Amino acid sequence: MTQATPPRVEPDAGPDLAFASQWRLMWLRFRRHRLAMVAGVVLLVLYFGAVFCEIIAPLGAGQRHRSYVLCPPQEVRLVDAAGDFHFRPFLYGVKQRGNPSDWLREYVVDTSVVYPIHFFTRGPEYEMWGLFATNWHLFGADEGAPLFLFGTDELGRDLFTRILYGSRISLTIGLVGVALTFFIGILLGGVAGYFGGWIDIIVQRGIEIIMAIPQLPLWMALSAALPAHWPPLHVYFGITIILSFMGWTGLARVVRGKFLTMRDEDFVVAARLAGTHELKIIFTHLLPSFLSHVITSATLAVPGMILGETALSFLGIGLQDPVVSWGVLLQKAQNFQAVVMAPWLLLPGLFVVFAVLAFNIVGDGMRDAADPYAN
Amino acid sequence: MRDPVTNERHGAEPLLEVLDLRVRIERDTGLVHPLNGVSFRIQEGQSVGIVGESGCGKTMASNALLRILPRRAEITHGSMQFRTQAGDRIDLAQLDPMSRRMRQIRGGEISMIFQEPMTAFSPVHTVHDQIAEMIRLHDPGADKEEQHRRVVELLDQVGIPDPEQRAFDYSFQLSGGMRQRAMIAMALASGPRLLIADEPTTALDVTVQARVLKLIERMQRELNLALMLITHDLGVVAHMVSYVYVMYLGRVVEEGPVEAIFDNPKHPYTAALLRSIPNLASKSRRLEPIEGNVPSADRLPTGCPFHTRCTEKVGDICQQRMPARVELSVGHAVSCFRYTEESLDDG
Amino acid sequence: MAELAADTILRVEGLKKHFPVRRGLLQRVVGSVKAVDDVSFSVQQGRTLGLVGESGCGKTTTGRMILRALDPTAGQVWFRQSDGQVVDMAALRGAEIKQARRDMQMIFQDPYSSLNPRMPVMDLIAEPLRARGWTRPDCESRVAELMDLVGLDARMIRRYPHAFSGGQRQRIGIARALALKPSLIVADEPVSALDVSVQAQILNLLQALQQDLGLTLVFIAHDLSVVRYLCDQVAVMYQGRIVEQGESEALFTAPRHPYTATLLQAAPAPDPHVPWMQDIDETETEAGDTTAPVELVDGTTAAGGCAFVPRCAHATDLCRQQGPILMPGSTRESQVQYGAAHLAACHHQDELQLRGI
Repeated sequence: MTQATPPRVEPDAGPDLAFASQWRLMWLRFRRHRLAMVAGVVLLVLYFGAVFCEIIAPLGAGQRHRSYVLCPPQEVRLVDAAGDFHFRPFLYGVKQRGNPSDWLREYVVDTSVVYPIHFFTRGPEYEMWGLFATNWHLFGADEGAPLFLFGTDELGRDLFTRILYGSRISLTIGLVGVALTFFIGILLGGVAGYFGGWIDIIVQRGIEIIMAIPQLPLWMALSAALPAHWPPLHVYFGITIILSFMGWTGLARVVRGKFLTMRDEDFVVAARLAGTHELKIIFTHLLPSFLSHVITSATLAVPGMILGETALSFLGIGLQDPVVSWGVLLQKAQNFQAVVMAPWLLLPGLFVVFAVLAFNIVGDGMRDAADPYAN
Repeated sequence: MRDPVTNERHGAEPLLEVLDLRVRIERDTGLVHPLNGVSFRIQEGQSVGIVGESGCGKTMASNALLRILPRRAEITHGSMQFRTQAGDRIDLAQLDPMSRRMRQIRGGEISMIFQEPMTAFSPVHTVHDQIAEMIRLHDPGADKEEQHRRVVELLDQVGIPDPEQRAFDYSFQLSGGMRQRAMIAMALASGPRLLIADEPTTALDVTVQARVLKLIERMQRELNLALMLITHDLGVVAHMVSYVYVMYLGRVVEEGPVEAIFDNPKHPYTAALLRSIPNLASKSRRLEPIEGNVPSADRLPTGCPFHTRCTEKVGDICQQRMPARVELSVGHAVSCFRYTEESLDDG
Repeated sequence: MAELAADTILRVEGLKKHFPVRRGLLQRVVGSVKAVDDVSFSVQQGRTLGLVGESGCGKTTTGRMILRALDPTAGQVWFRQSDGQVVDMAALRGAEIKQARRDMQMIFQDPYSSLNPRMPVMDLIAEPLRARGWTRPDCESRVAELMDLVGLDARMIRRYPHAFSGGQRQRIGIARALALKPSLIVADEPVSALDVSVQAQILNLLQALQQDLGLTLVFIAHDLSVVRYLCDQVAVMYQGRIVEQGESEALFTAPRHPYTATLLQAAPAPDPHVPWMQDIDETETEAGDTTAPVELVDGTTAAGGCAFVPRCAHATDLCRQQGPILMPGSTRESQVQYGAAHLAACHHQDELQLRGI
C-alpha cells in the first residue's frame, strides 16, 4: 500500500515576522483588509485636498462671479463639438438666458467661446497657510471663464473651491476634537481605572450623567452660549471643545476598562515583581497594550465629530457664513426650492458621507488589526 | 474486564469506519492541513481512545465526524461510514452539513460532550428545558409529562442528587462537576449509539474528574454505547478505553489494544511520550523529554511527521516518505520505517 | 523577631488572606472568603516544597503572598536574603520589597499571558536588570548568558514572543526569573499549560537549575505525579488550609489525611495495570466544593468542624463539631513510623489505614 504524498510544505511566513513589532503586525493585518485600505486612500486624498486647498482650488473661496449665479457644474472637455480631440483640456463658455416658458434663468453652453485650462498657472492671490502671499494654482483658466466644476451658489461663488476650503475646517474639527477627546478620555479613564475607589465612582457617575443628556439640545445650548462677537476662529475652537466635551465619555470608559483588566494581567504582575517602577509599567506595559484599541476608538469617533459640526452649522448655530465648512455650505441646501433648482448645492453632503464612511471603514479595519496577538 | 477487542478482525461490521480522512483549512496566511489521512474504526459498544498533543488533529477528527468544522475548513478526501440504527450505511463525508439527515445523526445517533460544559448549555434556559428539547427532537411523540419523567430519570442516572429540584436550575447554578454530569445527561437524552467525549474532564479537578470518568464508563457499559474518548491525558486513556489510536500532526502513528500500547509501544513517538511523563507510582525514574517542539500545522515536515524529533530514525527515508501502516500483531499497527520492508531494502 | 533556623530560607507563619465579599447597591462588605487561612510552613535552603491542591484551595494565593504580589491579611513571611538578613516580607514596604525580590522570583503558569507580546525577548528577560539600573550592554551579555542557561539560542534575542512555542516561552519566563540570581523561586504550575511532550523538558530544566544554582523552590501544582517527581516535601491544601504536610515519600506512600488519600486515588496512572479509583464511589457527588465558602460577617455560617467532612468517608461527630489542627501523630508508633515532621489535620490520623501509592 502506498501512502499519498504529504501536502506540500507551505512557504515560510518569513523569519522577519519573528522580529516584527506590534505595529508592524498590525500593519500587516490591516493591509489584508482591502476595503479599509481603499478607504484609507480616500481619506489621504481628502486630507491632501484640505492641506493644499489654496493651491488646488482654481478660484478664491469668497470670490463672487456676478454673471454666474447658481450656474450648474461645467464640464472640462478633451473632445470638442466637432469631435476633434485636444491634448489640452478646455471649457466652453456659458451664455445666460431666460427660459421663455417659465422665465427662470438658464445657462447654455456656448461652443463658440473656448477657454483652455492651464496648469501651474497664476490666478487669484491668496495667503498660503497664512505665511506668504502667492497666486500660483494647480490649474486655472482665463479670467471670466466658467471654471465651476461643481457649479456656483446664489452669490456666484465656485462650489468646488468652497468644498475644498470647507474640508479644511470640517476634517480638522474632527481631528482636533478627537485629540482633545483622547486627552480627556485617557486622563480621566486612566485615573479612574488606575486609582479605583471613590475617584472611579465619581468619574463613572459623571460619565453616566453626561451620556444621559440628550446631545442636540445641549449642543444648541452650549453654542448659543458662545459670544456672538467672537471671531470665526474662536467659534471654531469653541465648537470643537463643545463636541469633545460630549465625546470623551465613550473613550474614558474604554480606557478605564482596559486599565482595570490589564492591572492584574500576569505580565504586569511579572513587571512589578521585576521591580519596575509603577509609572514605567504604565508607559511600557499598560499603555502600549491598549493604545491600539484606543486609537481605533478614536478613529471611530472622528465621524461623530464631523457630523456634529455639520449638524450644528446646518442648523445655523455652529459656524457662520464668512467661514467655510461643509456644514455651512449645506445650509444653502436647506430649502426645497434651492435643491430643486440647484441640486449641486447638495454636493458638500456627499463629501460628508464619503469622509464619514471612509473613517468608519478604516476604523473597522483598525479594530480587526488592533490585537495582532489574538489566537 | 472488558474484552480487548482487536479492531481489525471483528466479526461484525463496525459502527463507524473512517478511512483516509483529510481536512484542509484555508487561512489568510495559507493552507493548513490538520488531518492528513486519518483512519480509525469503532465497533458497537466499544470504547476507543484518541490520544495526542495539541495540533495532532484529534478534535478536528471529531468535528469532521459531526460535520461541525470551522467555516473555511473542508474535507478534501476520505470517507466516514456510519451504520445507522436502521442498519443502513451512510458516508458522513458525503452529507450536507446542514441537511436534515446530518442533523438527525448529530443530535440523535452521535452525541458529544465537551471540555467546557458552560458552552454546551444556554444560560437563559433551565437544564430541564434543554434536556427536554433533546428528548423532543429524538422522540416527537413524548408528551410534556413523559418528557419530564425522562429528564428526571436521566439526571438521576448521571448521579445528580435531588433531580426533581436540580432540573429547574440554570447551568451556571451548578458546580463544575454537576454541570458536566448534566451535560452527559443531555448527551444521552437522544439515545445515541456513539458518544464522543472531547477532553471531557480537562477543566475539572482530579477528584471530580475521577468521578465523572467513572460515570461515563458506567453509562457506556449500561447503555452499550460506543465511546470515542479524545484526550491528551495518557492516564485517563489507560483506564477508560480498550483500544487506542495515537495521533501526531494529523496522522495516526500507532494503534492497538490499550495494554499493547502501554506495555509494548512500537512507534518511537508513543514510546518517547510514555518515557516523558512522570508516573505517580514510581519516583526514581528520570524523565526523558522529547526534544524540540510540536511543529505547527501550517509548516508540516515532509515524510514521517515525527522525524524532526525522533531519536530512532532509520535514515533519510524518514524525511522523504510517509511510512506505510504495518500490522505487527493482531490489532496492533504502527506507521514507522523501523517496521517496514521498504526501509530494510533501503538500509 | 526574626528567628530562622540556620538551614531554613523561608518560614511562613499564620498566613491569611481574606477577600471581602460585597453585595448590594452600596457594595457593603457582607462577609469574607478565607482564601488562605492560617497557613504555616518552612522551607530549607536548596530544597523543593510542593504546594498541592485543587483549584481554589489557596495555593496560588499563598505563593503570591510569599512574593508580596498580594498583601496578606495577617501572618508573617520570614525570608533570609542573600546578604544574610532575615526580613518579614509581609511587613516590608516599597524599596525594601524591591530589595528582597532580588533574591526571590516567580515563574508563572501561563507562558502566553506572562510575557508582554509587545516586547522582544531581550527586553523581557532584562526587565529586572533594567529596573536596577544595569546598562544596556551589560544587560545584553547577561541576557545571552541566561538564554544559554535555559537552553534557548541566544541568537533569538531580538525576537518577539510570538515567534516562540509554549515550551520556549516558559524558558524565557524562567530566564527572566533567574536574571538577578535569586535564591528562592516560586513556580506556579509552570508546566500545566504545556504540551505533554514538552512538560518533561521544563521539569528537567527546573531540576537541573536547582541543583546547579542551589535554588530553593516552592512548586505549586495540582498534578501529583509532577510533584512527586520534583519535590522533597509536600504540603496538601484544602479550602485555604494545609491538611497534610511531610516528606514527599512518606506523604505519598503513607498518607495521614483522607483528602490526600483521595487525591492519590483519583489520579489515573499512565498504566492500565495500576488499579485506579478503587475506593472512590462514582455516585458520591460533588457535595463539598473545594473553594472556600463565604463566611458572613455575623458569623452565622462559621461551621466549627473539619472542612472535609462533607466528602469524608471516615467523618465522626467529633469531626463535625471540632476543627482539627495540623499536628504530628500522637501515638508512639506513628512518630516512629512517619517522623515528627509528618503533620496532618485529622482527628483520626492515628487510627485510619489510608492507602497510598
